[in-house]
Amino acid sequence: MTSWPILSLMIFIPLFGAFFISLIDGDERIVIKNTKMVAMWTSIVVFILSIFVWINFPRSSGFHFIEEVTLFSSLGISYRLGIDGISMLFVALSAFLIPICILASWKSIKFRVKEYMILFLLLESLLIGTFCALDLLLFYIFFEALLIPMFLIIGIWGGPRRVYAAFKFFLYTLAGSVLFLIAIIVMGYSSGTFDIRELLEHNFPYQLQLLLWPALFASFAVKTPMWPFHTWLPDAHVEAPTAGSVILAGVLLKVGGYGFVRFSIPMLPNASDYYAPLVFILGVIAIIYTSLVALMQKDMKKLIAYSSVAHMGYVTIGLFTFKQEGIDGAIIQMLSHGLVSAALFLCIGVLYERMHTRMISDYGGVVKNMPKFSLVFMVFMLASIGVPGTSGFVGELLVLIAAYKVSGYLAFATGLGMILGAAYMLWLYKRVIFGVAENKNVKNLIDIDKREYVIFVPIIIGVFWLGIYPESFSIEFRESVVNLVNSINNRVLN
Amino acid sequence: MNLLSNILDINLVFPEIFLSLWLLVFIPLGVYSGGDKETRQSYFTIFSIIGLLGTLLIILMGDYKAARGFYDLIVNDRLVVFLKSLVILAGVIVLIISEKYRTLKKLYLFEYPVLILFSILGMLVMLSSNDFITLYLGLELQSLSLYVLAAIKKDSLKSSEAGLKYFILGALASGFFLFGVSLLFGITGTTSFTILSSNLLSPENNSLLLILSIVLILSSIAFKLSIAPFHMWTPDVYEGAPTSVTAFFAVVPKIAAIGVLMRILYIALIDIHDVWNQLILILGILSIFVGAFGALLQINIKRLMAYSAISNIGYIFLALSLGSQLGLEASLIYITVYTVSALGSFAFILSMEKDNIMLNNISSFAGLSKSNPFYAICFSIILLSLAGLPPLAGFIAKFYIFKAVIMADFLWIAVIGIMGSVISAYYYLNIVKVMYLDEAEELFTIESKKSVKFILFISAVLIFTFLIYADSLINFLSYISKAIIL
Repeated sequence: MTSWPILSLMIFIPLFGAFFISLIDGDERIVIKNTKMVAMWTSIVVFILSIFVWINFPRSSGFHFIEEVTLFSSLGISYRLGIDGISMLFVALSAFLIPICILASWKSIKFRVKEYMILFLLLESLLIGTFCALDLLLFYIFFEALLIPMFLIIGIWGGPRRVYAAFKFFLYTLAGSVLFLIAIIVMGYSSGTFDIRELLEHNFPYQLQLLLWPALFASFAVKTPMWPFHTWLPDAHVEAPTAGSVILAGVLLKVGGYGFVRFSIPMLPNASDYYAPLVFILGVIAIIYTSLVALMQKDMKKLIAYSSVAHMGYVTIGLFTFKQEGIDGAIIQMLSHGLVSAALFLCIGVLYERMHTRMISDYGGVVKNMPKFSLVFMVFMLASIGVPGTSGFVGELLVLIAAYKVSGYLAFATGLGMILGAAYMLWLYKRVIFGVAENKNVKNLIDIDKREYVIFVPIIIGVFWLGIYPESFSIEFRESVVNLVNSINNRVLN
Repeated sequence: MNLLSNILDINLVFPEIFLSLWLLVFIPLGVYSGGDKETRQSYFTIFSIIGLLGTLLIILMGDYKAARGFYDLIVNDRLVVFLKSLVILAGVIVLIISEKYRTLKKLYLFEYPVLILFSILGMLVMLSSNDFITLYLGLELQSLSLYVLAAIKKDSLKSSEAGLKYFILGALASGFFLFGVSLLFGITGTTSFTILSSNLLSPENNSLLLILSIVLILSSIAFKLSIAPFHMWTPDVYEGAPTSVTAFFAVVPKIAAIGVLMRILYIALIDIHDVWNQLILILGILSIFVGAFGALLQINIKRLMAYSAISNIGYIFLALSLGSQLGLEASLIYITVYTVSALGSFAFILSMEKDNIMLNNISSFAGLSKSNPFYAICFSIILLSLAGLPPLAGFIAKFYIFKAVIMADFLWIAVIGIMGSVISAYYYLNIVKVMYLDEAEELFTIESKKSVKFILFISAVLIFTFLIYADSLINFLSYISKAIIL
């Protein structure tokens, strides 16, 4: 362990980079080049720090790398940071995806590059802050502030309906999270502290839990998103620039799942137990219904967006089984989805940059001109389906086992979703990659270049690593999850 | 003996006396001075700013200890000193930011600063009043000056309409106030806050007449604060009055009226808290929603600011309705933050001029982030703070209000109130959208005085870095609010 405030460094280095970018001035072309370089290197430094944290991470339960500065004595709020095994992996995921996003926008962002990079670095800082916060209100501040850069990224660099999508994203999420704020105030002042570590130990009265839980649920269910609160997601994804979609699907959605596992379940265990059937029903509907919806999509991005809703359905089901396998599986599923959906959006981005269309019907026969791309796309497509050996398999299997332990019907419904998932992904792949190239533009496609290799290779490595040797990830959060499951069982049984 | 004590009391009203004397010098100076109009105007502004700052100095050098004088007509304590200073500072800032606008619109009348000073004098009297009679004197002095100010652009139809509308409705409200006070006098035999608070009123004599008198008094104050359903005049007056006067309306009288309301509710009528708390609560909720929904479709920034003021004051009512120390503290924090945000917003609005025409339509800010990034970013920070997004000042202020509401066990009120803030987030965000996402028809540069830019910058910085100094500010305000001990 080091005495360095490493988490703060990871939060403030991107801010510093953003500040530095805002100072860059001079010739337009040089400014753009320097901006990209500064953003890239800043995010790489943060990524290196996150690896450092991972290596030095003690695999015991509880929070590590703790930092604490009193912010408001009058309100009892402090700047408290710390990570346990669960949040550490999400921090690493954010730090991993941001450089990829920056690299992915290297050429596709043509105007206001400076602002774009500033916003991405701001986003990184806030994301890491969200996962590191050990103070309920500090968490909320990061969580809510995330909306601003994302709103601007969708709104400025998005597609034709970007303004509508940005507003929908913003207002949906805000409406959910203000209820969370009310819950935070109630939790903070009824227990006398905003410290997450103490709140995890605190027993809220049963009636209060039943009231608080829906407020938290409103916020996280919108963020995750769960059916029927998901309608903002397809719009936001379709309109967002590629990197925006990547970060949205890759990390932002995980904040919802993280919220469940960090707040709803351990702090309100009895209420979680009480409401678990509701979550299962919504989860099953999400998996089956949105898979069916995904089957019928004409727009590739929309299809992946709906598949995200379905995949996050597994996550919520897994979390609310309160079984070791379920929670393990849900966390791995979140990580896997963070990689796979991010990569799928990047794949669509590759096609879009060349063809300027996302309609499935405009493609077909891509494999002839882009064999390497087709291979990459296939890996991620299979990972999304959950083929053994890829990351998608581990999470889904564990969730399925846990679901079976709860109820056979639940497992059946969950499994049905997997078949549908295979159906829409394979069909998408068939229509885009194979077949006869009817569109003449397809014949002029150029295969992926070096920059795009650099983007995809790390993700492919991640996908296989997580699929073949998931223990190297799950060992980090094993202790935390064991603790979580035990404490739920103790408290629910009592 | 009595005479002597009265003479000693005079130091309680030194600031008011100083400002009155200053005004007495000012009026003949304005009438007899020559020179060209523009120089005269800037001299008069400086002259009035010096007068205000002198008053502020006298206030700050005076005693902060709780004291009453002139047979309990006048009161002085920390809260009074704080609110008076806030009023004067806000007044000075409004004078600074409206300088260019007045030159532009040829509002050279020397009566303009004189009237501003008179209304501030009225507010000082209001704030230090400890009796409904003193309060009425202050209220009328303030209101009469404001009526004239609203109509000061003589050749503008809208300005005259605004003045007339404000005057007629304001006169009605004053009538309500007097009627309510006379009823209260009929019931209790006194108009003094101190005597009223000493067990004269109790829930037992909770007669219909008492309720009527309180409703009348509160509704007239609610009118001054443009609280729904007494808000009808606000958008029209805000739109019609010259923008510099609107800036004044939106900030300065609000502080004074909130201060008066604190004193009426928390000193004079605290014993019958049960009678007024629901009234204030309902008015607050209503205002939040009227402000939120009313602003949704506005295309004029001045009208939008009017609705924004309505909903912001609604939040303060929510906190004041609690009748608790926490509620008082929360409303004090909120009014302070609101003052900074509103001043910043108007510094922005008053800078928006192209080819000598004020840009009042929100759509005319399109592309501002490209043409004038400084203004766009400062105003965006202020707007997002008004929308209550963390980590900005508006968030902490709202947080504090909802904390007070929740700790008083009004959970559902908090839920309803916070939903209102989501709705109002839409229109604040809409302005950010126009500035950042919309393309401008043509790029233009905004040129305003350095002082205005500086004020905009300072208010944005104060809002943005709020978390850093929030702790000491909140502790300070909580100390101030303890002047009224419940």
